[in-house]
Amino acid sequence: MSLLKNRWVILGLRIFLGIVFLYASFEKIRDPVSFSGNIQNYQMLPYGITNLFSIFLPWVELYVGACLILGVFVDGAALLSAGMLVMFIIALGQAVARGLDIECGCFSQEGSLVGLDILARDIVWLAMSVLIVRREEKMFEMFPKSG
Amino acid sequence: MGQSAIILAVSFVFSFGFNMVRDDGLPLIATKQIIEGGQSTADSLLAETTLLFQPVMIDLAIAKSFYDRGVLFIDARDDKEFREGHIAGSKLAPANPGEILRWATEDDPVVTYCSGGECDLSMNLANELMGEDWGFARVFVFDGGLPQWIEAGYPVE
Repeated sequence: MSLLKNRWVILGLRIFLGIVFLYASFEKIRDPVSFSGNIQNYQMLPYGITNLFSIFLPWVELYVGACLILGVFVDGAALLSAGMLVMFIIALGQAVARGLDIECGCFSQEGSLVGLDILARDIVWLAMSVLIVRREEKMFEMFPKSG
Repeated sequence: MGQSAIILAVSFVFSFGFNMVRDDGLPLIATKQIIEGGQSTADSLLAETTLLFQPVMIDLAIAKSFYDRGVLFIDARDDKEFREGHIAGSKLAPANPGEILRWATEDDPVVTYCSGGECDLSMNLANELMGEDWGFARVFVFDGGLPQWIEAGYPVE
């Protein structure tokens, strides 16, 4: 399992997840109305507060992605990445369990419906986030450099 | 954890800040916009030249006006609730929304309703009908739902 602690592997995971989050954030920031609709489709939040999520969440994705890639606040970014993915997994899980036939809303107009494949994908990404949180060596981290 | 809190704080400032300055910013709290009006509003909503990009919520008066003109009403609740009582002549939403095409074409106006208040089944169904899969052109959501309909003394069965 030492490969999973290899600093180059961790760096690779950071860049990969960073790109995932940056990519996920762009279209949502550009079109918060559609994203708000996507959130509503999950039927988890009361009508009315979905806008707050659709305004706020994409920016967290943006900064988490940027921090992971740039090596700034990697601990915090990886923790938030794990937290968001847990949230997404819960949302997707309940949608799949209820048989909701809705669009994922994970990325821009990908048009993919919620399903076990997307759930599995998010679980893999969650595992990647945990590996980054638990990393033992730092690699190309600008700030903070130690501690 | 401190770093996470900083990232969240920065996101908070930029997200809501950007939302405030952009032209197409969202209202922080989504409010229901229900079209109210009388005969002429109802007429204009039903006109074939009226283009809708998303479902439109209508009030009781417009719903009744549509009803009197024979517009198809779809009950978005489940079959048990439907059997207990529904707007007279309305149809139970089929599991596959495409089956609504048995009663109307994509170009016909359709009204969806459920039990009013916090019920969002009617809006979900309406969004689905106007989405890419089905392409209904004019779907309206009677926001007051069955309770308001009954209260007004309009026909149920």
